[in-house]
Amino acid sequence: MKKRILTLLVLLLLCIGFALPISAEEGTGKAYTYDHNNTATAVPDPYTAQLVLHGNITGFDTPSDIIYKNQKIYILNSKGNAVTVLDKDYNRIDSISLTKNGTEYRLSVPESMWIDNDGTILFADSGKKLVVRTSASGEVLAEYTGPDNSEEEGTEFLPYKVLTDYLGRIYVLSKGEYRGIVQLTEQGKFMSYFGSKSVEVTAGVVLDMAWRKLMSKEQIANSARYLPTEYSNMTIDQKGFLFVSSGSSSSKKEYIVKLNSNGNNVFEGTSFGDFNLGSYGTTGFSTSFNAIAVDENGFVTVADKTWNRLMQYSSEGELLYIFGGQGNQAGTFQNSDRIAAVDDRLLVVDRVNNTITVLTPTGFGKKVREGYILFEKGLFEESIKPFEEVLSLAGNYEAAYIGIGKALQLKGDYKGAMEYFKKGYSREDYSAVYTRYRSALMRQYFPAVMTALIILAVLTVVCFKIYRKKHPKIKKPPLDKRGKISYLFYCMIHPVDGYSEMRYNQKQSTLISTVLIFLWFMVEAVKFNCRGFIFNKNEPQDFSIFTLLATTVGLSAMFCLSNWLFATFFEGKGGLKNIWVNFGYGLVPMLVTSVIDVILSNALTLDESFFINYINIFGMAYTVFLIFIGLGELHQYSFKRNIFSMLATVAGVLIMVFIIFLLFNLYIQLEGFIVSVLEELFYRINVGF
Amino acid sequence: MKNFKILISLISALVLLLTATACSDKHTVKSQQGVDYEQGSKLSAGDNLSFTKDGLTLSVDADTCNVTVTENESGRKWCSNPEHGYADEYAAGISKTNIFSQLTVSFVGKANTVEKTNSYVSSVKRKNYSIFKTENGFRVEYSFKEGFMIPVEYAVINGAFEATVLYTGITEEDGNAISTVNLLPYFGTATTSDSGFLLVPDGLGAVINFNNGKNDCSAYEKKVYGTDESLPNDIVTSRSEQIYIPLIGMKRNDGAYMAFVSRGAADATVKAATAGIETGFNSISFSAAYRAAENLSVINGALGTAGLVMYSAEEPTDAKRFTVRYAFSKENNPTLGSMVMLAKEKLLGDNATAKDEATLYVDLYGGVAKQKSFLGIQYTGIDTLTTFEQAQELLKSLREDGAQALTVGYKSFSQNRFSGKLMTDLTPISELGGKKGLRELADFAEENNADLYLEADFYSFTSSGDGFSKYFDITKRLDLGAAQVYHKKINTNLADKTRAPYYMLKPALFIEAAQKLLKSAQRLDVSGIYLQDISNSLAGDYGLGGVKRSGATEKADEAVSLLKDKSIMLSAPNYYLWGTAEKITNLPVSSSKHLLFDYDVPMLQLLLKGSLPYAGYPLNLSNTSDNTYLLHIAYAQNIHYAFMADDAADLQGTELAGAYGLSRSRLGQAAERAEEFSRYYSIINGCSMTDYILFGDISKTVYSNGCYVLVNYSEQDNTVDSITVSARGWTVVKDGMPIFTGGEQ
Repeated sequence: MKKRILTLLVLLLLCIGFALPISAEEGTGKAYTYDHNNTATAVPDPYTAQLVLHGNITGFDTPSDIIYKNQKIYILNSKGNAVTVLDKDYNRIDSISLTKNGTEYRLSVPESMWIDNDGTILFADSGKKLVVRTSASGEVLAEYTGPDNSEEEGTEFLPYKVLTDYLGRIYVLSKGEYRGIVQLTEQGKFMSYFGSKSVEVTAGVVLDMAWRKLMSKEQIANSARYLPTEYSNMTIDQKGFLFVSSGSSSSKKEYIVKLNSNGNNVFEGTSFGDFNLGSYGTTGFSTSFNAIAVDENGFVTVADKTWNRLMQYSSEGELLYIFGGQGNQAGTFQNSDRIAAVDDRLLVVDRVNNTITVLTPTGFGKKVREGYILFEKGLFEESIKPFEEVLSLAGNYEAAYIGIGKALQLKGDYKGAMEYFKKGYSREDYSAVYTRYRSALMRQYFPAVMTALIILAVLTVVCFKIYRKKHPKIKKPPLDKRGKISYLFYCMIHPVDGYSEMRYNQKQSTLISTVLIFLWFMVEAVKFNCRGFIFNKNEPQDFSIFTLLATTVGLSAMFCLSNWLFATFFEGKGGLKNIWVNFGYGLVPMLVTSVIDVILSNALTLDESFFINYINIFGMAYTVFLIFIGLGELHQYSFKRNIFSMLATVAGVLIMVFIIFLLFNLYIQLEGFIVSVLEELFYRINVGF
Repeated sequence: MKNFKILISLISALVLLLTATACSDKHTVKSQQGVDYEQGSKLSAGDNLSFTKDGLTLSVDADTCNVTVTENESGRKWCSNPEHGYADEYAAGISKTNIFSQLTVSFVGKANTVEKTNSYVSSVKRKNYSIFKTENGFRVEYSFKEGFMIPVEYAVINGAFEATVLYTGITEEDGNAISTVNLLPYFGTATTSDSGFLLVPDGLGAVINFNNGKNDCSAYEKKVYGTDESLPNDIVTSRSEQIYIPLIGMKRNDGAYMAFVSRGAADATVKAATAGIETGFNSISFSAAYRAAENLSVINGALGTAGLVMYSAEEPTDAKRFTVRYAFSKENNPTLGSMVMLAKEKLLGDNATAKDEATLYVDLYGGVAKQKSFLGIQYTGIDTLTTFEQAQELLKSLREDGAQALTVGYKSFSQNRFSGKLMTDLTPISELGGKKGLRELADFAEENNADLYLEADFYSFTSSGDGFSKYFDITKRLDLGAAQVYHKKINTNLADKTRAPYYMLKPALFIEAAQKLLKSAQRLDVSGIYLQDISNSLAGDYGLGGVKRSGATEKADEAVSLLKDKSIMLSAPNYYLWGTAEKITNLPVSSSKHLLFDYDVPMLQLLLKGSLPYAGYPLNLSNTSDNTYLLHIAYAQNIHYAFMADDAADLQGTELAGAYGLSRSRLGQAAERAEEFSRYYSIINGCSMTDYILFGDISKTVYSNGCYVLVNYSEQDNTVDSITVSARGWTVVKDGMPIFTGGEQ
């Protein structure tokens, strides 16, 4: 019978955790976003390429920049000395050639242009190393040479992006300029470096800095310097915030920075770009933004050079969606160096195909933007409708759930809000609502519940008193006559006495101890899955029954074994069986507090998490204390020796884990080798036939 | 101990044998065996090189081998190449001589790299060719200086001009292996002074106007019948539509032709370019992959460096010939519609007219694999999305809301689907209601004017089972290793190695799989089968003696035909399966919108309307454009939606998380649209589509009963032929009077 149960149990364990292979993909769009786990999920296309303008037909050649200002689209051509001007219907209405004092003026390597508030045009020319200001018709008015860098070697003024703010101050990005954005006055005089970045501090950097303390002055001068990397592109919005993009060498949080007038980054710690791109062979892929645009509603669109994808973020830095891609179809690009926002459309320049793609928002894109605009203005109630429409188009769009959740929360519909926050996987919001919900519940039911409890308490006391009158108290039997379970509880409360007597009386039970250890395993499993939504960040698919078994039951076994082995060194008197019992008995406080933890986590909020932590710590401490005392008494160690024994036991466990790890690795290698040989054999068996 | 020794020696012998055969010389070139075409008589100088039949005159130039087809009635001439001496202002490098060639060839040379040559430089210029007279035309044998000989036959058969590369006559020496042959690349010789367009079968069809000025774009090139998954493409970064039928066309000035690959289509690639891209010609042609060749990236083990190694197949394609049929329009200034009608008549052979009733196509999803927990213990279980009972309820609700007829495709329900085996067994998982529930659903469907189709497939699988092994019964790659394909990660389109890969079933076993499927359908008394990937995907088996793409199309056709007793619904099928289907679904409403294209045209719909009922991709799963519903009206395409009874949020974390629109929220919209569509369709029931014209934001689709529908995609009302069409709406016109209007809801 026991055997049958055992085999059934083993079979049950074996059936669990086997992945079922799945096939087939659904969805046709190429757009995606990232969910709370940073896994890419498909979403409907937010933009369609309604129109593609070809250079030959519309009249531009390999554009190096595109600006939208005053209802006109300005295209800076890198070939041919002209700026092509289009109207909002993409018809060519003008072209500007540059002249100086009547003669033709050719730019060397025109990289960027900007229309100033007074109508004059600024050009960034990295070939001539100048920022050139011309009139609206192209007559050169001034040439700015940028800051004087004669003292510093290797930092020439090579402007590749220029823009002005509402005061007329000129901002220039210069190649290789690590000190930040060059800020010039309206007249072109150097003011300062704006928005300098900090060097990303990695372990390597720290080590190197420490090493430098020992180096001589000459050595330091000859070694490579740590400089922050340069920005790749920038733009400015109507409120005067500067949006600057960086390539892949920065930290993920700094791919896009929103600088205020003090040069500080306003985006609070959101990560930008793709996640989990992985690598292919030896090439690692990471996002590298090289174009940026901001539209009238504050939505930031960036182009990623690595995959020619466009990513759009809200004005608070939240990812809306990622679209575009590499290819020869309308809506994909061979190159996406410059973007301009024209009302709610996006114009993307592709220098390789010599095209400008006009992306128009689809119904889905429009609804998402509408929802975000209303939401970020604080009009939560009005944002429900667009978000609901978003959800009917895309049931996996988490931000829409959160948006509706917030709206419901303000309306006072706490239960509805919690449901939506759960679907949107936003634990902070859920916790916040839950506080209110719980208070509301308590306020509603508190009087009734309290009254009931009081009546119940009074009744219990009365009944107990009556019972006692009828059945007087029986004297408790002496210690050695009690049952095994009550002995367990005795050990909890009087550990020193209980454990020291364990060596003589036969009250210890290996069975109880084993049960307790398995109970530990079950409690851990329950903890993994059943803790409240607010505290439980575990994903169901990460659950591995084998890992859990190993870290609870396996760990217990190793600990006991290690302790027993080291008992020879320390002349301990306990046997393996008794060590097992001691250990098992000691776990009880932790089990109790774990159960309380699970129950409480379903009822408390994030702000009250210290309760749970405190209870857990108490349980852990008491458990450690019990085990310490127990084993000490068992082996009859002195206090000092007990400490050493504990440390040695822990060390022993570590050694065991290490050996197991080695063996496991070896096994994996061997298995992999055999499997690949067999598979190779099978796959090639048809070769000769 | 002795037994052990014997075992070891046997194993080592086996391993040595295998490595020996695997290392065989890559350069042994195998050709087709047996010449099976008419030899004809060799012509000498001065012989008549002109042949007239069926209103067409075919002539071959003795010096340049240029082929000219003259339409006797109108006098229009169609040449394969410009006259000798023509100066092309755009051509550079090998393009300069390509324009004078009837064949451009790429081959794998001794250095194991791909090289290019053409018939002008390698054969004609060196006077190394022979012309033969055959019964229906001529045969030219081009002997290339690279050591191979390619015979090409030009003939007039059944009123059309046929150009054939005779594979069985190809000989290769000197270790050069032919990879691709582009036949008549500049046929039509449309220059910058001509006006017209090219018709490309990409997705549903697209038009490239002559001289459209998009000179900085790359030329168009795409494989017919989709990519071959046995030939791994390393990085595929964008998804695009495939070519479902090997049919191209050209309108030049007042004449037009349509060309169709009647033999060897599975190896064909469509190439198209406008004047200014590579040459001064607007050209469209077919290229045949005689022998598959690929660059495979190899990671050099110990050094960890990646490299590219050229692999080419040992054996050439299993097609015996590559034939392109050109039909010329007799009309003066033919329209797009008449060009496609010409193709239907002369090139494809008319399909019988089938029942043409508007139905609402509905995909229902049975279940999805999900992580579940039992007392805190996790396991991978199946979450039911729509049980058979819930399906009945959904269908009932659709009928009540106005959908009169339904075509139901039930997906994701079979045990084989969830265990990863080949989907040839239709037994449903028990969670959905078991066989009894299925029976009840089938009965309900019958009583409620709904046709029920159950999902099945025998293209690919992940685990062995049901008699198909993932070691022995799968296709092989060019390097003779197993072809295994990983699903692609959305954000990189690179292989997602966390999911198990899938393998393609050997085409040789298609018939066996279909037989198993038929047995299962008979056992469960199922009347409709919904075939998935096997309808549109083609994977060749490049192991020795394996059935390659061409043979695979025949095997697939044979296999699917076995199921003809049951009603078959195909998902976006390739042309070779059109004869077996009773219904078609997931037909594209768009092309891949290559930058060279000027606008989309419904070539597939022009061919199918009136012959086979067809529907599009589920509207709630493909929100790629806001015009999708309007396009369904313009293309007379049945409406298709996908539903499940569960809540959309339950899909998070499953493989269906990408099916963003899957829920029941659009049930009402689907029924409403279906009702409106069926009223529209009843006007054009049984008719064929005869023409399609696009004027800016308005399209006009003409039907054989004289009615036409105007669809307005813009945000403003518009007037065409004094008929006003409202913004985002349509009007059906009969005898000049609007009889039906509708709009986007």
